[in-house]
Amino acid sequence: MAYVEFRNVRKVYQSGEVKVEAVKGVNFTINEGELVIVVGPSGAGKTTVLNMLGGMDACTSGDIFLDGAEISKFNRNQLIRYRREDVGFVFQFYNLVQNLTTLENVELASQICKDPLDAAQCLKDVGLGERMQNFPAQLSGGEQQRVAIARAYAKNPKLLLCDEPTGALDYITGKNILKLLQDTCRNNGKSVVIITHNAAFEALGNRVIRINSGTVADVRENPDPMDAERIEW
Amino acid sequence: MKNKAFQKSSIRVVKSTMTRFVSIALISFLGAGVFAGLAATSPNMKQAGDQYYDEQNVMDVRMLSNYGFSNEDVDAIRSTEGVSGVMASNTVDATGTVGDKDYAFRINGLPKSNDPSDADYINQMKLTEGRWPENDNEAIIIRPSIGLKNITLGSSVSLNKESNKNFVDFLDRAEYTVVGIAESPYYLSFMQGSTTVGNGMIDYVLYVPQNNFIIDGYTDLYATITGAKASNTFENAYFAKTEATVKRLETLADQRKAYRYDEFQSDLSKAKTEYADAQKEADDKLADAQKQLDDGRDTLNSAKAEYEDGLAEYNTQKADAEKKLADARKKLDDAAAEIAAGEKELNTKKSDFSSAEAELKAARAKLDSGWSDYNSKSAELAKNKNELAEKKTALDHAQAQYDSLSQLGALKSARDAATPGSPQYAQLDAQYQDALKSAGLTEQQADAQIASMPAMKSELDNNWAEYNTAAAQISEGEKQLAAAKQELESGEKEYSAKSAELESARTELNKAESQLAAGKKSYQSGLTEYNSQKAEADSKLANAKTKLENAAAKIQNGEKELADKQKEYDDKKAEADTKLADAKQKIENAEKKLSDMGEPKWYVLDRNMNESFATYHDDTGRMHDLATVFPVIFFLVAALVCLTTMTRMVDEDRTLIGTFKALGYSNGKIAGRYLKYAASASLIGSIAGVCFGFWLIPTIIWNSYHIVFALPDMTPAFYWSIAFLSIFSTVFIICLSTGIAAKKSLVETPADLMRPKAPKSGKRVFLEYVKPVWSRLSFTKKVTVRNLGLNKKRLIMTLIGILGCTSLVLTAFGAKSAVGAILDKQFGSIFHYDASVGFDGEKPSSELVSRLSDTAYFGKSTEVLRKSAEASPRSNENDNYNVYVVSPQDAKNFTDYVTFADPKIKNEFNFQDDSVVITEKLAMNLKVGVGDTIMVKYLDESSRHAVTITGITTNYAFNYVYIGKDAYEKAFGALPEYNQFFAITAKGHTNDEIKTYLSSTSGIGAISFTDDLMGNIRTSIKSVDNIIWILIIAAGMLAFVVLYNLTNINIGERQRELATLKVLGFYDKETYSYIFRETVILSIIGCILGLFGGIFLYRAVVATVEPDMILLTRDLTWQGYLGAAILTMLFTWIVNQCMKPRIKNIDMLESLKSVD
Repeated sequence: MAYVEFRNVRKVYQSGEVKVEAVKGVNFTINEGELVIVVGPSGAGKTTVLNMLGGMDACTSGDIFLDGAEISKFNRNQLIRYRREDVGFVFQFYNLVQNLTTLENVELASQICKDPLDAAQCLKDVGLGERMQNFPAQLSGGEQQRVAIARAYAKNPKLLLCDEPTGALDYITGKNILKLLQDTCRNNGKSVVIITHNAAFEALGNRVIRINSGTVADVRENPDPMDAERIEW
Repeated sequence: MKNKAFQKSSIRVVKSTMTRFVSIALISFLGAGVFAGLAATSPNMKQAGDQYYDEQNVMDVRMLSNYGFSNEDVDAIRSTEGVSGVMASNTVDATGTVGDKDYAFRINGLPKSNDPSDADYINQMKLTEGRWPENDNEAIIIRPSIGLKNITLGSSVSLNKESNKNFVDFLDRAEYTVVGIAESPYYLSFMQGSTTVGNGMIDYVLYVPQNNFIIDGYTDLYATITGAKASNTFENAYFAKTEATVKRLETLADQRKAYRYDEFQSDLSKAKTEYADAQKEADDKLADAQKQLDDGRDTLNSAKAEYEDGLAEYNTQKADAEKKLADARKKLDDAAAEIAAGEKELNTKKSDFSSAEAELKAARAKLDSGWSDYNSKSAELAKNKNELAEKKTALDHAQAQYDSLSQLGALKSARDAATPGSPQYAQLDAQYQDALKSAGLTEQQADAQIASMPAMKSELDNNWAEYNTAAAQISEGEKQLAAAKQELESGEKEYSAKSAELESARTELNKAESQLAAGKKSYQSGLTEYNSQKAEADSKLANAKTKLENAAAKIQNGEKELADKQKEYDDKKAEADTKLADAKQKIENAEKKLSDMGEPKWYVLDRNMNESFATYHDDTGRMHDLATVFPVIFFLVAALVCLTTMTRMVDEDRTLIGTFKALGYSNGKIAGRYLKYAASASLIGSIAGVCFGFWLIPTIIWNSYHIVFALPDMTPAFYWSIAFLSIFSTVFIICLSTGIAAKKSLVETPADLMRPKAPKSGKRVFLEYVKPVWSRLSFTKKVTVRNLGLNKKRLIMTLIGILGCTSLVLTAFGAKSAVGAILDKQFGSIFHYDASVGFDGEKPSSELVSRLSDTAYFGKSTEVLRKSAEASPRSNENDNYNVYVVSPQDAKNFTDYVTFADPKIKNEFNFQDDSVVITEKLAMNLKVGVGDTIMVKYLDESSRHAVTITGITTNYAFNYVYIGKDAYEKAFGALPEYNQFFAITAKGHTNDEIKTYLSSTSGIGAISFTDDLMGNIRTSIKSVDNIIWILIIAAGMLAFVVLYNLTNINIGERQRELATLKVLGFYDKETYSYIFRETVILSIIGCILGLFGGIFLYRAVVATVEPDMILLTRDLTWQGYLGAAILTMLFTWIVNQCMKPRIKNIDMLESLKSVD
């Protein structure tokens, strides 16, 4: 069985009379240790897919499995525990707690889970060993995103989910972040899912899932992904 | 309508930010409501009071005079310009008993009319139960707000005539039955005024028919003033309106009192002349009567003398006759006695003679028998002599026989003693054989005879002895016989002598008998003669006596007549004397009154001098002051809440503002958007608050005043001026703070505004440098600490809000416990006596003293003076305070009954004979201290006395001036006139039992127990409870609004953070604490500050609301602090519970999507 599996997952948003089917029966699988690129245009439903995978949103129908557990059947508290133990998130806008230092932001995550990595080491790994006592406002965007990655990674999750991690960053910084994520996957064997609208990123992944209008348009395995330094867009 | 889109956006923003809108509306509601409610209470109370006064036609002026008022006075007042109605009445105070309880009563005369439309029916009563009196012994009682205790319809009131020395001059009836219960606007307050009877405080007011008042004229006049009803009596306009008429009445009073004085003087001199005339007339009449009486007495006296003479003569005659008769009688009696004695002697002699005769005869017979006896004895003796001689012969023979036998025996024994066969034996045997032969006996015979020898011998001896005795008898008999013969011969001689004697006696006896018979005969004839003489004398005397008795009866009649006349005279004289004495007394009284009271005085008193009015007026003033203290807190908090809320709103709309600016909207237009938003919220809130406040707060306060004042229900009123002021100031404050918040953003350029505001950087706070503490904090705690340092405005708002809440609650609890402390401290640790027992007269009866020293009922007791008085500072005599003057007889032990303690340093001190100690509150009111002098005036006297204070003591209820004996004498010029006992009762008897035990004691006055006093106070302070609830509710709302707002802003501001935490897998509880910890910390800090702030607020409130006679302690209890802290934290908890769903419902996805 695959590490992650989506079976006929549908998601319908309802606001008043209007029903919007954001995800219309998605099926795909991911293997452990893969770097997965989910790509598609804006509004295609890729974030919805990610949210459902990350336990932040429930699917309307279908089944979602991670490492044998059926996430789609989890209740509220199980979902919280799932997010706490098994998933790490990296957002487009970093979402750091402004009142905590870099180190504290990482510790915020690491200290609530069972088997965390060392927070300071994680920051060193992302190249921020010198900025541990700084507040987020004192860091650049790229640095903040590194902190976010360190925070997600320090939890030692089963799955690292990244939603447009380079969206708010310049080209160089963005590449550095992609490199960091690729290294994390390669060096530590973590499963990483990156969502992007940028088709250029496809070359990075072991597996590329194209989503269009709420359906999976194409799943492609890439036996020889490109190094992050080398991709251009 | 080119701004339609702009307006639409303005309206939509209200919908989308409902919680914000609501929190501004709510704080406006609270601020405006509390202000309007409290501000409206005072005018509302004034209005309701005035309405009641108008409806009941309450007097505008009360007039008193030390000389009373005559009907002319009443007419003069009635015709004064401006006076619309006049009612004259009488008032007297007395203690009385209902059932087993004593009360102090004020007795008023019932008005002539009870028709409400009659202008002269002033201070109209509202009959609530029963009916108006129809008979003179019926009465109406006024129900005070605290109720009538054991008095009901049909209760009989028995007034104590002794309790007021004027009572009998005023009223001729002391027993009344309550037939009606009424409310009177004149006696609103449960404190119905001071009095000089009982304990100094009037318990109940009675109205009795005017017929019962026997005093001439009236003691009280009540008048109403035309047009006065148009003004509210609690406003200055009323006094301005009545002033002119009051002045006119004062002028009239000056005229009338002079006239009245003259009238009194002339009346007095007239009365004196009349008295003198009457006295002269009476004297003349009496003199006539006296003369007649004297004449009658003379006549009687001469008749008496005549009678006396006649009586003397009669007595002499009677004595003579009686003497003669008595002599004769005596002689007769003597003779009779002699005869009787002669008879008796004769009889004796006769019996002597016959006994002698008999004796003689007996002696003859005795002699004859003696002789015959003698002869027979002599013959017997001769015979005995012969017998004896024969016996002697026989004896001699027997002796000889025995002697020969004894010889034979001796031989035989000699032979037998020798050895048989010896020669000696043979010899002896031969001798013996010889003797035998000579005796003619054989040896055997001899042996037998020898053997019978001892018997023989004894027989022989006996016979000999017998013989000797008989021989002696015979010789004796011979001797006797000879003596008897001699005696007989002398008896013969005597007999013949006596026989001769008897013969001569017989002759003598016969002679005496004949003599006696002659005596008897002459006595008989004497007696006959005496009897005839006596009968003659008796009839003569009886005649004389009858005559005398007739004369005596005549005298008696004369005497009786005279006595009657005398009595008649005496009666007349007594009557005349009484009349004259009465008249004289009256004149003297009048003179004394004139000299005592001096100049006649009229007092023209306006409503301010009515205790109920003054108390009520003061209370409305206090409410007014209270209305200025509290709203300040609410307005301050409202401003801060609005400032933070709007700042947040403006910050959120930063980009929007930039966009509008970029689109070319003016600053004013954009600011207007926020001003309108805030204004509409605060307008809605404050209008609702004003309406609610106008209704709720006056109603609650009014209801609590019902306990203290007997008032009708109040209708909440709407005051446009207060409503406007309250709404305007609320909206203004809200708009002002909105303007301040908006200004900061509006001055920035559109470009700056379009750029997202740099997120507020995390800042290191001081605590981080305290490593040991900091390193132990979790991240959420660190965030909390850093957040607290981040927004000072919000911090201050929250702190002030919580501080206000805690202070209000603390004030509420403080007020409650202070009021409770009055009871606990006053009656627990200051007053130790349980009862006061009044007595009539200058000294208590010994019965009372002995009952009070009965240890089964009383622990101890002491004699004191206690009287109602007024105290004023030396400088201003019009600044009066009601006090009790208490002067103990035994200063040294007085601290057993009342504890004296310095209010500042709390230590107790002793009471001395020269001490003058006043209570703390009085010292505060008079603004005096130790060493200062104050003036004291008894209510029933006019002179003021200066006393110098030597000490101030802690005291919570009522004002007292304690004066030692010596100090009293110095100040008042006389020793205190003790009028009651303070007593400490013994355990084991109820108050009723103690009262029953004392009630029959002679000279007993009113008995009152401190328990009853406690009950009164307890009732009156229940009113505080409602106010406490207002405070607690207001505090709760304040806390709610502030915390709700703070939490709301915090959640709004940190929505992203919260979403991030949720994404990171924080449980709900952890997420809540991320927000609530801040609230809780601020609540705790605010609460601690509030506990300090509350001390000041409490003191300010106490200083504002404290009545004159009550001292509320300035100290707060730990329970109060604890309660305030707990309640504050409870409010915090409730707010947190309310906010939980908001945090729970934060959508992770929405919050994470983008920056704005």
